Amino acid sequence: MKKLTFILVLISGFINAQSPLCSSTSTNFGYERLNSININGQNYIVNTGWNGPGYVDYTGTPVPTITAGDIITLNFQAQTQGNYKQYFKLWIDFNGNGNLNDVGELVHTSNSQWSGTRNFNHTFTVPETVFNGEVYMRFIMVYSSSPTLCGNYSYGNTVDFKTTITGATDPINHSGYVYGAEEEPLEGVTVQLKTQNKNQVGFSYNLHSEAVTDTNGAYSFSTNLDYNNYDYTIDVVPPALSTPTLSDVNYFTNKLISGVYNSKDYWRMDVNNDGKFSVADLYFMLAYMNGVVTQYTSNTPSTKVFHYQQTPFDWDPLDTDTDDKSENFGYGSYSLFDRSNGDSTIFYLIRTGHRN
Amino acid sequence: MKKTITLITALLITVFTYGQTTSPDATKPYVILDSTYNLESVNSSNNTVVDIYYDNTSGNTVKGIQFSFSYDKDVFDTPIITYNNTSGPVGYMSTDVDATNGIVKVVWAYDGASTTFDLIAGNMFDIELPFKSSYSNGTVDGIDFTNDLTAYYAQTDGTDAILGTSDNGGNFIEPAFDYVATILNSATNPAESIPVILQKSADGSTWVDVATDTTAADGTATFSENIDQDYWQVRLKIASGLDASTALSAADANMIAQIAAGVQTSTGIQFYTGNTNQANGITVSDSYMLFARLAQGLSAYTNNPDVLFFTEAQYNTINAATSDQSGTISGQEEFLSPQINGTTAGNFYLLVLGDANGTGLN
Repeated sequence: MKKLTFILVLISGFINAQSPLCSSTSTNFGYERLNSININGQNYIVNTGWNGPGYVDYTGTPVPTITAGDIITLNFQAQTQGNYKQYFKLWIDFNGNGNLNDVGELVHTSNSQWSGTRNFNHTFTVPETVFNGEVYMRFIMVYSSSPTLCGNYSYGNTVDFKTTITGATDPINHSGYVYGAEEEPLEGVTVQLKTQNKNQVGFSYNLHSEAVTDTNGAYSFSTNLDYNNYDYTIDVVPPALSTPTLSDVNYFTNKLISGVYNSKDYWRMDVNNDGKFSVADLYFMLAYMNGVVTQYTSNTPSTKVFHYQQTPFDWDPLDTDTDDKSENFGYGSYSLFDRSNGDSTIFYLIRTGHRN
Repeated sequence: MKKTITLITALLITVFTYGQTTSPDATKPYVILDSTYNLESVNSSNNTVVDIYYDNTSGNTVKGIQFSFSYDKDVFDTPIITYNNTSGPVGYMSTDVDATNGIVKVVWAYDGASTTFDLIAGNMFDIELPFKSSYSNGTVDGIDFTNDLTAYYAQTDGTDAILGTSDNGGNFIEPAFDYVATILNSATNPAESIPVILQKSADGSTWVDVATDTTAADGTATFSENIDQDYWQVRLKIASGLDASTALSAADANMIAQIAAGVQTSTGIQFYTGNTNQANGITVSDSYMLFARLAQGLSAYTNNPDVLFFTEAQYNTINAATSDQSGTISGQEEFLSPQINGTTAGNFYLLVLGDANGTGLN
């Protein structure tokens, strides 16, 4: 059987790097191959011999920009050494969510049985309801059975591509970071994406989704909502008041006795909320640490200031200046409005009783 | 400026004896500096120690305190601040020393789990002050509270309030120097009412008077001063010009005449007391000189002092001698003792010219 003949040859064929998509490759070579493929006028050579590889990553050579509503050409040449039946599929991740199995994302499917070299010429139409932006594509040829998006198969080829879609709608995407007062990442902070229809009068944002910051303080949102139809806000859920550490106390004590302050200290050190720093604040932190008290004063918030990076930066003067800005900055803002779609934000939390 | 090294008055001594380490009033809690602190000797291996006290009669509960003070940065190296564990548990303490400006900031806060803790009054902090290697002696500025770190105390509800700072002086005094000088006419005859001056000198050349005491009936002059003997040279002085008329009588003049005539043999002492003109041994001139003074009621000889002073060793030599020692032991009209550093008492003798029968100056 041909399936057993070239086992040693195929092993040497797994040499291509994997795109961000799920893994997919053939495990045997020698009887059928995808010689080349041309999408939207861009030609790609796949296999010129019978030793593989089974997977080729062409995401570094993008398919020319695709415009929503256009008819796109899909031409490919395949070759067999015997009268074998081949199945072909092409997926495009139109909504950019990393899953190519969504409805409408399988744009081509065909099959044919032949012997020797054969050229195939097809087209597909890009829906007008897709989203703008960079998207991944995957083409698979499989011997004798219909391809599935992920996983290994016996004979054939998988090729991944990337292209840019224009002329469509813009999905709301947003990412960013949450840092503490010392600009170190804060993990486990909940961030909310809220939306409202652009036709909405006033503010009536509804929670769309939540993300929790990772060890790098990073969060991200990907939606299938058209930015042209929705406004959105990014809200940070203030962490609950938490117990300071001795390290925090030491840090603030050094500040107290050195008399050298940053503007942000007027929020984070002043746990008794009286507008100055003294041994009373230090005692209060120690009392909190030891369970003598369970809160500071009734009007001491857990996170006094919440600022974000924009132009001009709100954060920078708090970080670098030395004066008390609490009169002007108050408790800051927990919500971020009117962001450009796809931009990135850095939030800074000044937590009461905590250095960072 | 508090310059503490020079003259220590009796008032200061009294203050030091009793100390001032309690709150001046009940309006608030206080940190307190005593009136004086003992300065270590410059050659001592020990550091000078300043105690900072805490007291509170206000009735307010205190959970922590902060304050700052200054020290003489030109005299002392970086201080070592120690909590004495007498005001409660070890607690949370942090200090900052600005050696350039001589400023120390202190923060202490209760860090235990008790809800009823209240800072306990007492000697709360020790400040150890090592001498700078460049320091030998001189003016030392006292310890003072400063506003470099505003004095606050922490209350139960986590708020702060003004902590009082009571500075009773914070001055330094040199190590104690106690000395008893006994002035004697003879071993059994003390000299009363002799003004004795205690002097000190940095270089052995220029001397300054520190204190004066007049001998009591037992011949003693007592000094209790603050003088660093490792630095200062210390001695006693008795000014010349004492009037010893009360020790002189016709009996003395007759005895001198008899010695001159060979009727009596002179003792070692009488070679001095009988030689009123301090020349040519004992002769009729000495007797005449005394008779003449007595007859004229004079309070002094024309060219000779009434009194000569001797150290105890000199006196003993003279007293034991059977010959005239004045060639080698002349005695002092103005008495300047040898250095008395390292001693606590000494005997010194005087002989009255003309007092051949040894009445003595009393």
